[in-house]
Amino acid sequence: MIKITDLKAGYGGHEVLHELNLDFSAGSMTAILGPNGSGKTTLVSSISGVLFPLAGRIGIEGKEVNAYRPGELAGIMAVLPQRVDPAFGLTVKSMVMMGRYAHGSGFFGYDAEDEQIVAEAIERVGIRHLSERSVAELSGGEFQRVLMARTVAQQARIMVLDEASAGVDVAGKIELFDLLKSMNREGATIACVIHDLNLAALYFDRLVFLSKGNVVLDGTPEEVITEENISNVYETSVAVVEHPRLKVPQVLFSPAAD
Amino acid sequence: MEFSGNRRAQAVIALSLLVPVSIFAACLFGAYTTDAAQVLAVFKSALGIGAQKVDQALSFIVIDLRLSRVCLSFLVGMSLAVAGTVYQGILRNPLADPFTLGVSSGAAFGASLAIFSGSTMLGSQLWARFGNLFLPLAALAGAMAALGAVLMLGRIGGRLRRETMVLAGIVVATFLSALISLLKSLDEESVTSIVFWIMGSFQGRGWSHLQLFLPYFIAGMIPLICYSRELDILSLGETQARHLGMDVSKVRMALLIGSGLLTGAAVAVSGIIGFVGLIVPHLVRMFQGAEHRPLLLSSSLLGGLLLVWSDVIARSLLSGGEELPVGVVTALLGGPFFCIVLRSGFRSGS
Repeated sequence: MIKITDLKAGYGGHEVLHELNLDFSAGSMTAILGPNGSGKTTLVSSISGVLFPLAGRIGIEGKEVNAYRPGELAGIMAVLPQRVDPAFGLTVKSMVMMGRYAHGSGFFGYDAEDEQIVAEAIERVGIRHLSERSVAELSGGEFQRVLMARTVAQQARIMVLDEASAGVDVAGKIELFDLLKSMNREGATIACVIHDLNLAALYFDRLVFLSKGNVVLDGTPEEVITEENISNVYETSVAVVEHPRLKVPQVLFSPAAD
Repeated sequence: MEFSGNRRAQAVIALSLLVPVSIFAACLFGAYTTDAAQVLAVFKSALGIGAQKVDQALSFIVIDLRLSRVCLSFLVGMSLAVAGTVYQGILRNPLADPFTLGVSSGAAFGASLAIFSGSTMLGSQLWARFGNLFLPLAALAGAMAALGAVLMLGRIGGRLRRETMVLAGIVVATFLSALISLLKSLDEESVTSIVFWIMGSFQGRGWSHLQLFLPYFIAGMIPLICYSRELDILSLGETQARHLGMDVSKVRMALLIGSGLLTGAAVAVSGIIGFVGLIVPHLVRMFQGAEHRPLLLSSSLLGGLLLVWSDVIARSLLSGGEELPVGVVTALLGGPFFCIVLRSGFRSGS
């Protein structure tokens, strides 16, 4: 589905990712983790085709990412970036409608089918009460849900998300990841940058940890979330316990003062 | 604030109704006093309705002097407002206006060169050949050359970037302003004409100017209509637009050329008229939201109306047939008004 081979990527000659190799198989649900500056966003930019690699290859469904026409790629892969900064107060509905852009339609814009799909996406993410509001007035968490609805409306087989739940409260996070999980069950391949180790362990089948531009850990939550691994990657001491009901590892932090 | 489809429809209907009313009413004003019945009679006879015979001189005043000027100012207002909306969307900057990317400086330089060349052999031949269209043609050529230069300078590594585009616009505009100053200092006599032309006016403009303007108006509007939906997406930034599947360079280039044609042609026939392209999109956004397709429609109508009435003020404020430059009127109306709107409206998130 996504196959990354010997990828070197960076900005203005500064190499952030060093010879990275990663495979995301069809229908997988992978979390990308790691400390700040480890290259997570660079990886997302490379996969989404907006950052041209310095070396190496990025195959999306067997074809090089930069060989796709823009509309064609967006039909296959939806990207939810870390930061979106709308210059004007568009309505929530228009923002979500943009997810339909790649599905190409006539001169007069979006058709009834697009309207239907957008209405469903808005319903599914639970923001119908916001649909006529201007995005300029939304809270960070609400805006993030709008972007999520847009990603849903894009109906892509692959979803790449960079901190989809940034600024969303705890209950909202659970809702968002429940939604991602159900989309994954319906067949979507998902790769998501996430900071919360415990949510990652709860929702994802596979966790990939980046550090200083390299993959340092890659496996199921049970395989990679150990006290030694996490302490090494984040350079802070942690305790790992088992979730009392779900039997997945969960990480506990302790303040340095103790 | 919620901007329902209703509000947009109301705005378009109200503005559309005001257009014919304003065009008729604006024909009542001028140095020669006419009343509504006379103007109505002239219109009827021009349209072939009713058998009333009207005075040839009156018909000339109303149709050839006033109506042509009103129509031209309406289309120029439309162009400036639409171009302003597009530039604000592409540059993601609410302070952008049709003149941000140096198009106006190009036109001003072209016009200045034409005025300056009047005293040379070649220049006087050209003046004789093209008559009163030489000036707008030279301005148009200047505008297009400036736009071309900005687009070329702004393309780095095959991609048109927002920051480099703005910088290229500033560089080109500054350089051309220096050249205009040079021309002014070389020829003291042409200073007044250059300054007057730059201030913007519809004085003495008629059907021939409209004829010159119209093809560029149509050619400029086509890409803007085709890519109006893309403007919403572009206002989120280039990366977002690419994620959503847009061919950013192509769309941006088409939009810039379209709005450049509109601005260039507008400046060519009327000089530099400020504020219309800046404030109209803001006003409309405050009333009906930022979606570009309805925004462009309402802005074009409001921009046209605003300029028609500004021109009425410009030609009727002073007594004795003297005229104010319409650019002065729009700036005098626009400046204070914009301050009020900014203070009251920006908090509601437009």
